[in-house]
Amino acid sequence: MTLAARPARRRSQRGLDDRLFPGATAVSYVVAILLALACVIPLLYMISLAFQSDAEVQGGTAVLLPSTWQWGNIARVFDAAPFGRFLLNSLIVAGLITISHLVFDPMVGYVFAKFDFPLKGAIFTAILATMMISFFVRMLPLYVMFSNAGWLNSYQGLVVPFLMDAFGIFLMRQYMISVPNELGEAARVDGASEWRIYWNIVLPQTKPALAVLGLFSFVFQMNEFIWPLIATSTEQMRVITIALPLFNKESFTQWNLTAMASLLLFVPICALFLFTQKYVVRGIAMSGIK
Amino acid sequence: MSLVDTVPVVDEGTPPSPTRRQGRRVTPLRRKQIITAYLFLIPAVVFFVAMFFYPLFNELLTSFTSGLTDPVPVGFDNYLRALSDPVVIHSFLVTLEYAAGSLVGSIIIGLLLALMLNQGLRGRVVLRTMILVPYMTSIAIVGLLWRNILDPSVGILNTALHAVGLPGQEWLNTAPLQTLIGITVWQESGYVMMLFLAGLQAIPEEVYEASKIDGAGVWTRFRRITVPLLAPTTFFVLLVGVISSMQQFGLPYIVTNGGPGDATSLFVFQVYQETFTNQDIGYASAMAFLLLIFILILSFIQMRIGRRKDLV
Amino acid sequence: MNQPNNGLSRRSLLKAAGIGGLSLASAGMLAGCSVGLNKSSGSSSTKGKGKHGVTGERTGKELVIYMNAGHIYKAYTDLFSRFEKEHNIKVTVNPQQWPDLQTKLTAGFLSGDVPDLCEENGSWWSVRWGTAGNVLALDDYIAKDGKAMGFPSDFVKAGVEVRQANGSTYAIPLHLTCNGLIFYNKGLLDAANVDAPKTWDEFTEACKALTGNGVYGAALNQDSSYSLPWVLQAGADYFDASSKKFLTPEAAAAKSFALQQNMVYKYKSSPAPVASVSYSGPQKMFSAKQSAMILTGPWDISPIQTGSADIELGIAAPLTGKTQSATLAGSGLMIPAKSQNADLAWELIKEMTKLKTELAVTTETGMTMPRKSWAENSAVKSDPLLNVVAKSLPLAVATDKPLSQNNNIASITTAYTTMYQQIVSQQTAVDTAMAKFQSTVKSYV
Repeated sequence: MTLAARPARRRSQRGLDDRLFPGATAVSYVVAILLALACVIPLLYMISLAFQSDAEVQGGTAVLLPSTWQWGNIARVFDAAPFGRFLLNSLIVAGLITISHLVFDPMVGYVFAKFDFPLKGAIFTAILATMMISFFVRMLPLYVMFSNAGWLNSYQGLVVPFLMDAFGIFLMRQYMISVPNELGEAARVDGASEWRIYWNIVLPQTKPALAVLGLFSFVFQMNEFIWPLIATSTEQMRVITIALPLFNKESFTQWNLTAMASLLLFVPICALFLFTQKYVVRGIAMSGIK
Repeated sequence: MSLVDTVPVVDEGTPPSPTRRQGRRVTPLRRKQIITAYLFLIPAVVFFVAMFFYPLFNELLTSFTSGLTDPVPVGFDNYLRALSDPVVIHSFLVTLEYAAGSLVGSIIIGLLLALMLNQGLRGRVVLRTMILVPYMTSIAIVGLLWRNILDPSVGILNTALHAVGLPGQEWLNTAPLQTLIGITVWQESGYVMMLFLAGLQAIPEEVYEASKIDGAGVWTRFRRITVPLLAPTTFFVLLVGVISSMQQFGLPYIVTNGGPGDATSLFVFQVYQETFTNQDIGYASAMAFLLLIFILILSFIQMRIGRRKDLV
Repeated sequence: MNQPNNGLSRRSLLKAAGIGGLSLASAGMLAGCSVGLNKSSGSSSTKGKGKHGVTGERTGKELVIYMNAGHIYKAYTDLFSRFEKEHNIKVTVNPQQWPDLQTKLTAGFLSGDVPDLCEENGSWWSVRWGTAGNVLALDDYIAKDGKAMGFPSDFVKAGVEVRQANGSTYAIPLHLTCNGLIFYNKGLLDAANVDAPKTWDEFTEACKALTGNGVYGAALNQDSSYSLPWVLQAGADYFDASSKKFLTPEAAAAKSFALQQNMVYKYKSSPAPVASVSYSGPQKMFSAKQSAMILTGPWDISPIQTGSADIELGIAAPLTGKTQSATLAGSGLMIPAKSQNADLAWELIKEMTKLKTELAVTTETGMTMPRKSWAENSAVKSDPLLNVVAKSLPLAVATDKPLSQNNNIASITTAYTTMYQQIVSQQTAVDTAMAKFQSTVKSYV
C-alpha cells in the first residue's frame, strides 16, 4: 500500500507511433483532447449562460457567448433569495459531516486494520453492506424518527444520517494496513495507552488518506439533494442544491440565474478539486470506490 | 459465526499482527486488545444500527403492510403484486438497459482514455483533470444543465444543428433512455478512466518488453497482456457500476420526470413515484427490498464468477 | 500476482459486501416475518389534543403554510402581514411546486410534522387525505361561520363538490379555474388573417395557417391533464362510474388523442412536448412568440402579461368538438389534522377567501376565483379576458370526481400520463397506447 510513494512510471517510450501506424500518437492527442473538451464544454457553457442577459436566454435561439457579460446577474441571484445563507448552510452541513468522517472513519478503519476480535468479519461485512442500501430505503423511516426527535429542519437533522460512511471506513482500513505494526508495538511496550498509540502514532501516518477522505466527503455532501429537500421546510435551513430550481418561474425559466446559482455551488467545489486533484486521483486509484 | 471464516478480512498478504501470532488463546494482552477494539467500535456500531439497520428494519415491516395511514398487515401481497406488475417489470427492464448501456459506454470510453493517457502524452495531467471535472459535479447541476442544452426549442445543441443546416433533434423524446445513458457516460467515464489508469500502471513494463522480444504486435499485446491483466479492474468497475447504476435516481427525477410515457422510469424513480405520487408506501417498500435483494444476488453471482476466473 | 495491493483490497471488500449483505438481508427477512406487523402510523402524538388539530410548540406562536410557489401573490402576503399583527402570530409561508408539496405532505403525514394550513391542487388530495384522517373535516367550522362567509351558497357548486365526500367538506376553494381555454396571440392571428377558432376543424385549420417561420400554430402540454378537455369535447368520459370504464366511448376518446398526435406528427403544427415536472413549457413558448396559440387556463394570464408585455393576448372559449367542454381546475385550502393552529388557520382561510381578497388577487394577476359574487362583480364583467373565463367556468367538468375515493386514483393518473406522453411525445399508435392504459387500470377500479 504505497499510496503516497507510488513511483510515477514514465511511459513515454510506449508511444504508439512505431506500433500501430504512423501518426498514432497524433491521433491519440486529437481524440483525447476532443473527449476532454467534450467533458468541460457543457460546464463552460454553463458559465457563459450564467452571464447572459434575460433577452439572450429567453430569445428563440441559444447564444454561445453573452454579447456583454452581465456581472449584475450575481447580485440578482443574491437579491432573489438568500443564496448566501443557502451556501453557508451547505458549507456548514458538508463541513460538519466531513469533520465527523475525519474523526470516526479512521478510528473504525484502524480497528479493522490492526485488531483481531470476535465478530470482526461480521461487523465489517455489515458495515460494507450498507453501501448497497439505496438512501430511499431508509429515507421515510429516518424522516419519522427525526420528526419524533424534533430534528427536522435543523442542522443536526441534515448532518446526523451521514455522520460516518462505509466508503471512508474501507478507505482508511486499506491505508492503515500499510502502516507498520512496529511503531505501535514499540509504544505499547513503553506503556502508551491505546488511544495515544492511535492518535499520536498511527493517525499522523495516514495524512494522505485523510486528505482524500476529507475531499470526497465534502464534495459529495455539498452535492446531496434528496434528504435536504425532504428534511428542511424553511428558507433559513435550505441548502444550495435544492434552491437551484428556484428560478424556474411560472412565466419562464431564468436559465441565466439558474446557471449563476449553480456556479455558486460548482466554483468552490471545482476550485477545491483543482487544488487537490493529485489526492483525488490517488484516492480513486487506491480504493476504486466512489 | 461462520462468516468470520469465509471472509478473511485481514489478508494473508499483510504481515501477521501480534495478536495473530499468539493464536486464539485469550491472554491478558489479547483481552485488552479485544476490549480496545470494541471501545473504538462503539460509535460506529451505534451509528450504523441507528441510521441504517433500524430504518431498514422499519422499512421492511412497512413492506408487509398496506397504505399510508392505519396500515394493515398484508403478508407477502406487496411482493407478489410487484413481481407480476407490468409497470414494475417494465421499470426493472428499463433499469437493466440503463445499467448495461451506461456501464458498457463508460468502460469503453474510460478504457480508451486510459490507454491514450497512459502513453505519456504531454499535458496529460491537464487532460485528466478536465475529464474528471464532470464526476465532481453535483447531479442537480448536471441534470439542469443538460436539460437546458437538450431543450428542443431553446437548447444550444439544436441551435448549433440549425446553424450548420441540420434539422433539430428531440433527444428526450426520440431516445430518452439513451440520452440519460449518454449523460451518465459523460459524467462517469473520467472515474472509470482513473481506475483503468491505476490498473495499467500496475502492469510491469517487463511483461511488455518480453512479448516485444517475442515479436508480438500491438494488437496481440493488447489482447494477450493488457486485457487479461486489466480484467480484475474491469470486473471491479462492473461490480461497483452495477450497484450504483441500479440505484440511479437523480437523472430521471431532474431531467425527464420518468417520461415520456414510462420510457425513463428507472426503478428507484418508480419507488419514489409509488411512495410520493401514488401514495402506496407498503408497495414502494416491497419494491425497494426486491431491488436490494436483486443487487445482492447479482453481486453474489458476479463474485462467484469472478472467483472462478480468479479475478478477485 | 499482479498489483497485489489493489487485488487484496478488492477481494476483501467484494467478498464482505456480497456474502455479508446477502446473509444480512435474509436475516432481516426472517426477523420481519416473525415480528408483529402492526406498525403504528405516524408519531404517537403525546401532545395534548385541542378541539381541532393538536397543541404543539408552534401553537399560538407560528402559523406555517405550504403553498404553491406560483401563488404567493402580493395580495396574500399583504394579508399575511395584517394577520400577523391582528393575531400576534408569525406567519411562515413555505412555497413549493405541486410535486414537491405532495412529497413533503406525504412524509409529513407519516411523521406528524405537518403545516398548519395547506393549499391543495384541486385533485384528490383533500378528499383522499381527508377520508383517511390526515386532513380535517371542516364541517364544524362551516356550521359556525358558513352563513357569514357565504359558504357554500356563494361558491360555484362544482368547485365545492370536488372537495366533499360522505357529507363532509375537506377544503375551501381558493382559486377556481378551467382548463381548455384558447389563449392566442392577436398579432400573429391578424397577420395570418385567422380568426380565433371555435370548433375542432377551425382549430386545426388555424394551426396549419399559423405554422411557419419558426412559429408553431399551437403547443401541446406534456402534462396529461391538458389533454382531458379534448377527451370531453370528443364526447367521451374520463371515467364512467356506472360502467366503471375509462375513456368511454373509446372511439370518441381515440379521436381526441389522434387529433393531438396529428397536430404534432402529421400537420407539424405543434412541437412534441418534452416530459418534465413542469406544465409551463407551452406558456413559455407562447411568451417567446414561438407558438401562436395554447390551450390552458387563467393561471397563464399573469405570466404571459408580465413576461411579454408586448403580446396582445386574446382568450377564446373552449373548443367545440362533439360538445363544448372544459375541465375544472383550481386550488383550495385545507387544514391538516395535526395542525398546531387549526382555529387560526380557519380564520386565515376566511380572510383569504373573502370577496375583497379575491378581487385584489384578480386585479394583481388575472387569476379567477370561486365565488359567484366574484363572477358578478363589475370589475370582472368589464374585463374582456376575465369575462370569457368567467363565462366558460360553468362548462367545466371535474373529471376526477367519480374517482376521488378510489385508493388507486394517483396510480390511475400516472397510467394516463404514460399513455398520453406515449401518444404525443413518442408517436405510439393511439390504439396500442390506449389498450395498454386500459389493461393497466382495469385492476384499479
